[in-house]
Amino acid sequence: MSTIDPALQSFVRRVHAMMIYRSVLRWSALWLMIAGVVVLGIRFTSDLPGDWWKYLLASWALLVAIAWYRESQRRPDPKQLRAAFDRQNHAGGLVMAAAEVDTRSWEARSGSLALPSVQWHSGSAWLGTILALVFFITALLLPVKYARLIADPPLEISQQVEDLHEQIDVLESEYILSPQQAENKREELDRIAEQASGLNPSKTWEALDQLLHTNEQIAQQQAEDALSKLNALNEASLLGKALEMLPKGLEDQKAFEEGLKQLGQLMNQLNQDGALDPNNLPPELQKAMQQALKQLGQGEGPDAEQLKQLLEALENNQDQLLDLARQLAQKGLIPPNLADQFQPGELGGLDPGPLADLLKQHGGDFQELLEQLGPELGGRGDANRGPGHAPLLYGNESSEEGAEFQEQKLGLSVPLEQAKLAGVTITAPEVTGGEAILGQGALNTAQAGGGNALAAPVLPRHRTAVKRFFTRPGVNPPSVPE
Amino acid sequence: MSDSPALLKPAELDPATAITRQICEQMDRCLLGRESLHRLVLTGLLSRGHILLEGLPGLGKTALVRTIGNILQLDFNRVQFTPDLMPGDVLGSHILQQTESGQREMIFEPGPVFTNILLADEINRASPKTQSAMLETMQERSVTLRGQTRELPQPFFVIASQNPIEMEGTYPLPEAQLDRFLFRVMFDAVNADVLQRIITERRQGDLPSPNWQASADDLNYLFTVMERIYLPKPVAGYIARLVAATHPDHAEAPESVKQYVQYGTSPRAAIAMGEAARANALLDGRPTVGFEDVAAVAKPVMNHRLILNYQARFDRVDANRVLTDLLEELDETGLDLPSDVSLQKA
Repeated sequence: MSTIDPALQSFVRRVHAMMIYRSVLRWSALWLMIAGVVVLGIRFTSDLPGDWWKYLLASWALLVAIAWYRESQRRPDPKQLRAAFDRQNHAGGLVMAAAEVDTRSWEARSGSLALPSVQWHSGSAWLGTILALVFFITALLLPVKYARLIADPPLEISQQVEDLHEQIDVLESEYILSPQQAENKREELDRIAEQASGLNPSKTWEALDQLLHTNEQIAQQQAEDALSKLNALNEASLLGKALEMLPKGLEDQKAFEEGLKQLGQLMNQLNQDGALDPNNLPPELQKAMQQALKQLGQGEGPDAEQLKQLLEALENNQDQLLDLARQLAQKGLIPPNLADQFQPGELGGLDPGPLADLLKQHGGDFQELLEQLGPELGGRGDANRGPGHAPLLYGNESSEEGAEFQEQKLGLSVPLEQAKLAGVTITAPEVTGGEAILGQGALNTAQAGGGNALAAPVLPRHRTAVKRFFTRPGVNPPSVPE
Repeated sequence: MSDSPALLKPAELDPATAITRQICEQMDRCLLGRESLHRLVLTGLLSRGHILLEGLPGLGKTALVRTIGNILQLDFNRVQFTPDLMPGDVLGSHILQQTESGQREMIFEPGPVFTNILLADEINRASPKTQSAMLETMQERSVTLRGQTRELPQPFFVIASQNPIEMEGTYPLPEAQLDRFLFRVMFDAVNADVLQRIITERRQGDLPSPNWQASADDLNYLFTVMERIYLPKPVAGYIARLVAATHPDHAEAPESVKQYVQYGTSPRAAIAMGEAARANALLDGRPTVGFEDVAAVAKPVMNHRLILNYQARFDRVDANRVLTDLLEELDETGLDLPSDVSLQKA
C-alpha cells in the first residue's frame, strides 16, 4: 500500500463531509422556514402537541440522512479527488501516478503530504439559516391571540346582534312572529354571528342588513295594519263617547238609537277585521264586550253601564296598539313618521261634544257627520292631526341620484374686439334713456365687490387713456391710479 | 501494484537531471539574461521538436543556436532564407560528375539541412516553394530527392527565426508548417542590467566557450530517460481537454475562445504538449508529469497553432491572452465542485 493513500482517504472524507455539511445547512434554512409555517398553521387552528419537538428533531434527522445519501450518490470521482490532492500538494503528478504505477521509490523523497483544506463560502447560507431560525422562533413564540388575529381578525358586531335579538323578541312578544319563526330568525342570527370574520366583513354586514330589512318589512306592515285598526277604534270610541253625552230625553231617543245602530255596525266591522282582541282585555271587560257585541249584533242597544264598559274595552285595545307602535318605534323597526301617526286619545283629537249636538239635531250617517264636523273641530292638533282629507305627511327626502340640472343656454356676448366704435368723447359718457334703462340689465342689483357682468380687461396700452381720464380738467379724484 | 510498470528510480533520473542542469548552466553562462528561454529551448530539444524564435534582429538568436551546438557537440548549420533561395539550396542537389572510370553520374551534394541543428534565419523571407521543402525534413527528418529518401543525422532540430517587423516581401508561414514547430518562443529584449554585463564582459560580442560539453552518450541518455517519464492519465486527460477547449464549439471552451478563435489546435499540439511536459518534468527532476508541467509549456506549444478571427484583430487580442484565459478557467482536475467550494493548500 502506498503511503499516500491514508492522506488521500482523509482528504476524500473531508471533501465528502464538507459537501454533507453544506447540503445540511442549506436545507436546514428551507426546513426551518417550512417548520415555521407548519407551526404557525397548527397554532392558528389548534394547539401544538406536547411532544412537538420530537417531530421536529425526527424531521431534521431525516433531512440529515437525505443529505448524506444524496451527497454519497454525488460524491466526486476519486480519480479527480486524487488529481486535486496532487495539485494542491504540488506533487508533480506523483500522487496521480501512484494509482497507476509503483511510486514507492519516490514517496520517501516527496515527504509527507499535507491535507488540503476544503473551504466553503458559507456566509449567505448561514445568513439564510439564521433568518429562517428567527422566523421559526417567532412562529413558535408569537402569542396565540396575535396569531389568531392574523389568521382570522374578529368582526365587532355584538351590538348589531344584540339589537336584532331585541327586535326579534319584540316581534315575537307582539305576536307578529310565531315562536317558530322567531326561533328560526334567532338561529340564523347566531349563525351569522358565529361565521363573522374580519377577512370578509361585507358578507356578514350584508347578512345582517338582510335580516334587519326583513324585520323592518314585517314590522312596518304590522304597524300599518295597526294604524288602520287604531283609526277605526278611534272612530268607534268617538261615536260611543258622543252617544254617552246625549241627553237622556225622549226626543233624543231616536238619535241615540240611530247612533247605537251605527256603533253596532262599526263594532261588528272592527270585530270582523280583528281589531277587537278580547284576549287583550281583563276577564270582566272581555265578558262585558262579548255581551255588548252580542246585543249590538241582535240590534239591541247596550245600556249605559254596558256602553261605559264597551268604551273602556275600546280604550284598552287602543292602548294595546299604541304600545305596539311604541315598542316597534323604540327598536327602530318602523320609521319615525309612521310612529308619529300613533297618537293616544280620540280620533284626531276631536271633541265628542259637537258630534253629540249633531246627532241630537240631525241624526244621520256617522261618516257624513264627521265630514261636516271636520273643518270646525280640527286645529287642536298639529299639521297631521284633525279631520283634514289630505293629512300632511313628511316622508324621507327624495334621492338626488340621477337628478340632472336643466341646461340653460346663455345669451350671446359681444367680445370687446368686435364692439363698434360709436364715438370718442373727452368727458364721461352720457347716459341716455332715463331710469328705465338704468333699472335694467345685469348690473341693476349689482353691489360693490359682487363682480361685473362684463369685465373688460385694461391692457397696458390703455394706461395712458385711463390716466388722462382721471386727470381731465374739472375732475379732481381723490387719487390717480398708477 | 506489483504488476504495474515501475517509475524511473531516483538513481536513474538524477544523472539525467544533472546533465540538463549542466547544459542550462552553460547556456546561462554563455548567453546572459536568458534563463527561462534556455530552459524552454532545452525542453524543446529534449522533446525532439523544432523551435520557432520570433524576435528583433540582434537579440542573440544565432548565438543561442551556436551555443547549443557547442554545448551538445552537435553539427550546426545556418541558412539565411531569402526570396530567391531555392529548395536545392537547402536540401542539396545532384551534380553531374565524372567518376574515376571516366563515366559520368549524378552525385548528390547534401545541402545545409544535413546537420544536427539547422538555423533557418528569417524563414519567412523564403518563397513558399522553399518553405514547403522544409516540411518533410521537419516532420519525417528525411529528404527525398529524385525518388531517393535520405535520412537526416540524428538528432535533427530546426531552429527557425522570423522577424516580426519588416513584413514587406515576406511569405507568412502556412499553418501546416507552423504546426510542425513544437514551440514558438518570443525573443524579448534583455533588461538594462544584462545589457550592462554584456557590454562589459563581451567585447566585440564574442561568445565565451563553454567549459563543459555534453557527450553523445549524455544526449542519448537524456532521450532514453525522456521516454520513461511517466504521464499520468489525469494529466493526459487535462492535455486532451485543454486542446479540445481551444475549439470554439467545444462545451468547455471559455468565452474568449468562443469569441476570438476561428480554429483550435490540432492533435499534433496535444502530442507536442505531452512531450514538452515530460521534458519539463525531467528538467525539474521528477519522474512524473504534473499539471504544472503542462501549464509551463501550454502557451509556447499552442500560441502559434491557434487561428484567431478578425474580431480578435479588431480588439487587439493575441493568442497568448486567449490561452491565459483558457488556462485560468479550465480546471485541471475536472473536479466538479460547487462554485462556492474551493480547495486550499493546507
